[in-house]
Amino acid sequence: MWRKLFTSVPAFRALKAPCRSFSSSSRGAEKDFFKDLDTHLRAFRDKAAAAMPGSDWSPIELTPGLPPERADVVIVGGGVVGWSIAYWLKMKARVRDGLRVLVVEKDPTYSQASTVLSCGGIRQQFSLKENILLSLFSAHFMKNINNHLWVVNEDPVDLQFNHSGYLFLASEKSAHIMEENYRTQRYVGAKVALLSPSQLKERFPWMNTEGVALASLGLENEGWFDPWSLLNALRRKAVSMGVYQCFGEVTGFKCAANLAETTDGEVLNVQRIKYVHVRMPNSLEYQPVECAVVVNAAGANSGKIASMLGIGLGPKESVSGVPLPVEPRKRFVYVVHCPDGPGLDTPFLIDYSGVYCRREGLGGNYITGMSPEETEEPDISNLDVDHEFFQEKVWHRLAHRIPAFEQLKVSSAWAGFYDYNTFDQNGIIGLHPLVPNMYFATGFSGHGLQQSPAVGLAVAELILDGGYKTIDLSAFDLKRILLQEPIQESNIV
Amino acid sequence: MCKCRFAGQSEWLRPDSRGRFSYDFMSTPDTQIEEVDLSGTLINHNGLENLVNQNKLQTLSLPGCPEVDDWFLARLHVFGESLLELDLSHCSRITVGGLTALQNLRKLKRLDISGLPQLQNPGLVWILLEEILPHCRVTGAEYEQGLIQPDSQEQTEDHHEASTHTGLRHL
Repeated sequence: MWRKLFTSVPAFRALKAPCRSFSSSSRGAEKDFFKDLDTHLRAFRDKAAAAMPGSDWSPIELTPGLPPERADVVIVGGGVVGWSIAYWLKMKARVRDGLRVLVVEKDPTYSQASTVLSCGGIRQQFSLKENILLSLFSAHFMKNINNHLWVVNEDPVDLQFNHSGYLFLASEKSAHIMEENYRTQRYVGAKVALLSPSQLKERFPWMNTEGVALASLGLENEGWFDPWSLLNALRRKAVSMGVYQCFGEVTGFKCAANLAETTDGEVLNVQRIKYVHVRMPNSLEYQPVECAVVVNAAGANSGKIASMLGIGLGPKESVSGVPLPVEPRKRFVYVVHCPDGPGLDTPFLIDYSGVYCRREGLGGNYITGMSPEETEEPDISNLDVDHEFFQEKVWHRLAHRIPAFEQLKVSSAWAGFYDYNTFDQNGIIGLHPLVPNMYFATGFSGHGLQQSPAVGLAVAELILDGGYKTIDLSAFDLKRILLQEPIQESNIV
Repeated sequence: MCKCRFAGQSEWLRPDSRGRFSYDFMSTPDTQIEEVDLSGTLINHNGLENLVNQNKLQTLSLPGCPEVDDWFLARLHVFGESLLELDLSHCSRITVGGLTALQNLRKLKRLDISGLPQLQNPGLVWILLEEILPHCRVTGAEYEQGLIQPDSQEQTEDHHEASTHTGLRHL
C-alpha cells in the first residue's frame, strides 16, 4: 500500500512537468525517497488540498477572460461612452448586484479607440441647446470628479484639466451665426464672451486678426484634459461597483423574431436580442451571453454592429433599409514645436478656415489639425498619418492666423477615428423600432469624449427609468434618421 | 479667519473674539466689498457663489486655502474688470492648468504664487504668467526654481546659460 502511494507521487510531479517520462522519475523517487520523503508528502498534501473544492485549481480547463453566461445589460464598446453608461447604470441601481452589467471591448490595448486618440477638448460653444447642456453637465461632473469616481484606497483622479477656454473666430459672413449662438449659449448657462477684432488683438497680440469679424471666447468650464485619465477613472469606479469587463469581439446576435405590421400595411421583422455572441481574442471560441438589453456604444464600429442585426440590409424603401449612418472618419492630429509661439494664454483656437490649434504643455509644443473636405476624406482602413496634408492644407492657414508658426517643426503626429454621423453630425441616442432592446449611444462625430458623462446618465435613465430625467435628449432620438429630419449644428466651422 | 473691507471704509469687518460680526454694514446695503481676506478658510468653487456679485472687488487673499483649486480660479473671470491683487500662496491644489485661467483678469497688478507644491517649474510659470498679464507683477517664484542645478564646479560665466539650457530640456 505504501509502495502504491509513493509511486503515485511522481504522477503528481508529472502533472507539473508533463514532458518528463514516467519510468525515470519513478526510479528517481525510489532511489532517494527516504531523502525527499518530506517534500513528497508535502507535495501530495498540497495537491490533495488543491483538488478539493474551494481552491483555484480545476481539472476542467476554462478559457480565461470569458464573459458571464448571462447579464442584464451588455454594453458593446469599452470607450468613454460605454464605461460612462456602465457607471451610471450601477449608480442608479443603488443595490449591489441589483443589475448585472457587462462591458465588452474588442481591443485591450485601446490602440484604435477614438477615446484615447482624442485631443481631449471640452467646450460649451455649440448652437443646439442639447449639446450645450450635455457639455455643461460633463464639465460639472469633472469639477467634482472625486466625489463621483473616487475609489477607497486608490489615488484621487487627476484629469490634468487646462482651463484655457475655446476661442472661435468668425468671418464677416458667419458673424451673425456666432451672435445667435452666443445668445443661446448665454441663455442656457454657458459663460462665453464676444470679442471684437480690436479687443482680440489687445488680448492676444500674437494673433493676426485679418479677416476676423467676431470672436467668441469661453470663460469657464472650457479647455482640455487627459482622456485616458477619465476613461480609467470611470472604468475603475465601475469595476469597483461590480461591472464585468470582457475583452472580446461581438460577432453576432441570436434574436427572437416577431412580425409586426405598420399602419401602411408593411410587414416588419422585429428582432428582440436574446444572446450576444462574444468571441475571444485570437480564437474562434465564443460565448453566447444571454441578456435583456444591449447598448451599442461601439463608436466608429457602431454601423457594423447595427448591420449584424439586419439594420440597413432590407429593401430600400422600408424601415429596415435605412442603415445606421455612423461610419469611421479618419482625422489627423499633428504635434508641432515652435519656441516663439504663443504662451500660457493660448486657448483652443478654432479658425473659420477649419484649422484648430491648442497648446500642449509648457515647452512650446502645440497640437494642431483640420477637418478635411467632404470629398477628400482619407482612407479608413488604417491609422497611417498623411504628412502632406499638414504641409499643404494646415500649415499655411495656421501661419496666416498665428505668424509665429511660420517657423515650426512637426515633432510627431497621430490619427484617430471619429464615429462620424453622416446624417447630421450629432449624437444618436435611443431605441431602434426594429430592435426593441438595443439602445444606441453613438455618432457623436468628435464630441463623444466631452459629452460622455452626460450621455451615460441619459442612457442609464432611458434604460432604468424609461425616459430622460436630467437632460431631455429627445431631439437626438434615432427616429429622426428614419423620418429624415436632421438637426444640424449651425457652427461656423 | 476671514474678513472683508467695504468700499469707502478703511477698517476691516472681522469677527470679534466671540466669532460674531457687527451688523453695521446692514445700514448701507448697497456698498460693494473691495477687499476680501479668506486666508486659511475652506472656501471652494461653490462658495464663490456668494462673491460673484461683488463686481468692485479689488483684492482677494487666499493664502493657505486647501480647497482652492483650478476650477475656483476659472470662476474668477467675473472679477476681470476690477481685481487688482490676488494672493494664492500655499494653496496646494492649484496647478498650471488653473493658472492659465487667470488670463481673464486683465487688470491684475499683483499675483502671489509662492509655495504651490504642484508646480514643477515655478520659474518657468513665473515667466509665462508675466507674459500673459501685461500689468502684473508676479511674486513667489524665482527664476532658478525648477531648473536642474549644475554641480558647484561649473560656477563660471556660462552657468546662467547652462542652467537655462538644462531647464528647457528638463521640460
